[in-house]
Amino acid sequence: MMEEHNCRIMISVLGEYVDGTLGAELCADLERHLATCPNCRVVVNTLRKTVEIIQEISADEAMSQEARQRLFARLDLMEYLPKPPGAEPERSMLHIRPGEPCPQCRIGVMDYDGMLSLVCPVCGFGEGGCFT
Amino acid sequence: MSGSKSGTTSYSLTALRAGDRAEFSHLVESTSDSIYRLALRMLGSPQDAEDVVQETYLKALRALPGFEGRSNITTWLYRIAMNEALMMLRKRKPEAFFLEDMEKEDEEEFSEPYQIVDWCCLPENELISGESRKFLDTAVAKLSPALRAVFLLRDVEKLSIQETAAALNLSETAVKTRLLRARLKLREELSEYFGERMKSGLEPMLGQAG
Repeated sequence: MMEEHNCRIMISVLGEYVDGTLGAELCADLERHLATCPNCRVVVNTLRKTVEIIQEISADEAMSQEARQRLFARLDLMEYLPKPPGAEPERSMLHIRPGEPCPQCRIGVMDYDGMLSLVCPVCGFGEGGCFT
Repeated sequence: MSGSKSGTTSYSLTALRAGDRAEFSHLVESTSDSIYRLALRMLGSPQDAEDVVQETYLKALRALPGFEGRSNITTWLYRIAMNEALMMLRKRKPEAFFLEDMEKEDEEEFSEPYQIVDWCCLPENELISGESRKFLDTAVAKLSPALRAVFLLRDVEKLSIQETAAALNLSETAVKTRLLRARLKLREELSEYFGERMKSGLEPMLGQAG
């Protein structure tokens, strides 16, 4: 009877206990109770595990690439849309403006060449080449 | 427990307020999966979740110049997103929203744990794959919007109690109460489900022995 009474009191502090934020005194009380009450031990363990597995199944949920594209389009940010993982790594020219340091060698200053392509006069990095 | 998951990334508030698009796209890129996940679990439909995400950033874009930075910017985004999601839910299911009932519920005693089965020892893939996964999704979806909101922000998005309270405009006490209520409800559901799985896993063995 006494034990049952304790179990009821303990419920309200279980949240803080599994989060590790329960004050020292209540924490010691609870642990004394847990040492003698196997049912409450099961409740604590399964409560922890419940949170843990829901965290686990949620961790890899992400927006689809199509939804991400629609979001960036709606926000008028298409030029900043990151490439999906696995796409060919490529330095985007979209962020670079004339007068900015070269993203490749970091020495030259990006400028237009005779063909009006933005290139680095030092290492040659730039958008040159043909339209495809 | 640690603070918010995205709390480690810092953004230049000055740039954001000034309308710097590169900085805003950086913010969108690093937070949109979390916002989407939250909206999806609140609403249950990928289409609705996508709408909420779009609305969230459009509103943020408009409100940023006046953002005072009193709360963390990601907490602020969660707050906008949660308002959007709750508004959509309210339109769809007005009967699920009786504020008084929610507050009354906060006063109630916690219902006593009923299922006492230690299913923690079940193999990991049994706990989180296939059919179990569907069951877990449903269990979360069955929580009332008020409990689900707290559980998702605190336990899935890993906001602190204080941040969760700020995002939902609730007291920290209400957050703690609802969080525990949500966790206990989920624990009951999961214990019943995995308890059954443990029994049905044992039966074939018992059958062989007999």
